[in-house]
Amino acid sequence: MKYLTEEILNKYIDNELSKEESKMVAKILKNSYTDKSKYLELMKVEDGLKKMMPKNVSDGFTQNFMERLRLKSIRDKKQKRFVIFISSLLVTLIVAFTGTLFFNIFSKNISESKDVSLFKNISIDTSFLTENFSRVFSNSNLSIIGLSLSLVVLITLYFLLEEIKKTRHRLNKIQ
Amino acid sequence: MSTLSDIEIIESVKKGNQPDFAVLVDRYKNKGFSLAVSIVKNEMEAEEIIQDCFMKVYKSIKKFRGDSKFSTWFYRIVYNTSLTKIKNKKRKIEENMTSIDDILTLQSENRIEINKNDLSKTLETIVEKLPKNYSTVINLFYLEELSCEDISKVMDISLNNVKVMLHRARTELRKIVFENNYSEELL
Repeated sequence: MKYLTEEILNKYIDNELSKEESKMVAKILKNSYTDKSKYLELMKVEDGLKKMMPKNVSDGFTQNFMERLRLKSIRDKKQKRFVIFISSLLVTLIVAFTGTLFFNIFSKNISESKDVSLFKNISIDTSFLTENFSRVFSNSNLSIIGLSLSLVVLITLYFLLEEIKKTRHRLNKIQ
Repeated sequence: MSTLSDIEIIESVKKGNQPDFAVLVDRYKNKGFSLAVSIVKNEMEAEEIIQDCFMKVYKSIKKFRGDSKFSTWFYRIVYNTSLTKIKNKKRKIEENMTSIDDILTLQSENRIEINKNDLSKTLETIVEKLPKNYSTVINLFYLEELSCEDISKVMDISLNNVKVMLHRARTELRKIVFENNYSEELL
């Protein structure tokens, strides 16, 4: 006697067979003890699987996670503020430097020319521009500019790293 | 708040109500954890994975447009993160377990603690020990109550493959439980 395959029984349980096939399987199940017990065992497994419960995470998982999320948001905001601060500082320095440079160009041209028309005086004097650049970035000035910039960056970095350390410490405590 | 749908909670979080995210965490933490355990086979690692997954969800919640169900999206994140974790740690335990027959060997060595009076508990224990593809399908189908279509999206496999895996897993579970007399709730 040929028995029903497990695949057919599984399809029968999942209603994946056609009406005729289902009728045939039902008929076989009525007459075959082996098939019927196999089918009932599968149904038992099916019922058991349906009754399975999900595993539980540790107590306080949600609270810990939300605290971690809150601290992370604060840290991200601080990092964002730091980037904005540094960028605005650099932009200010560039604007200030360019302003000073143009101020020097205009004031020199105006004082040397008898014509008061401003636009006529903005004849790009490349030699003067080069002179100004080399004066501002002369050896002594360059080191002062570099030193001030590095100092600002170092101080800001120090505070940022301190903040990151504190946040990490708090996060570790939570975990 | 707990009666709100996932989409309503997501909209609220998108508006900046960070504390509302806790409702989603509460709703999905245990199911996501079970899924991660079924893949990485380690509860501590699974809990880390779930934390990372919720963090990923929070970061990219603005990108969630609701085209698919939140649950499908979340389980896909859990599934992929768990696989990455295994890959990173180069854990080859699962790969070495080429067939469910290995489980029979395992249980014959009495390594599975069986609760003979509770079939579902017995099945939970055995399912956890199954190869990750089978235990994932079982978890997604019975615990997370996803349809076969959704499971195929989560695991990125064909619908037919999902059905075949589900049938095989069920058949093997029947053999393990009944042929080894692990259940006393007999017919």
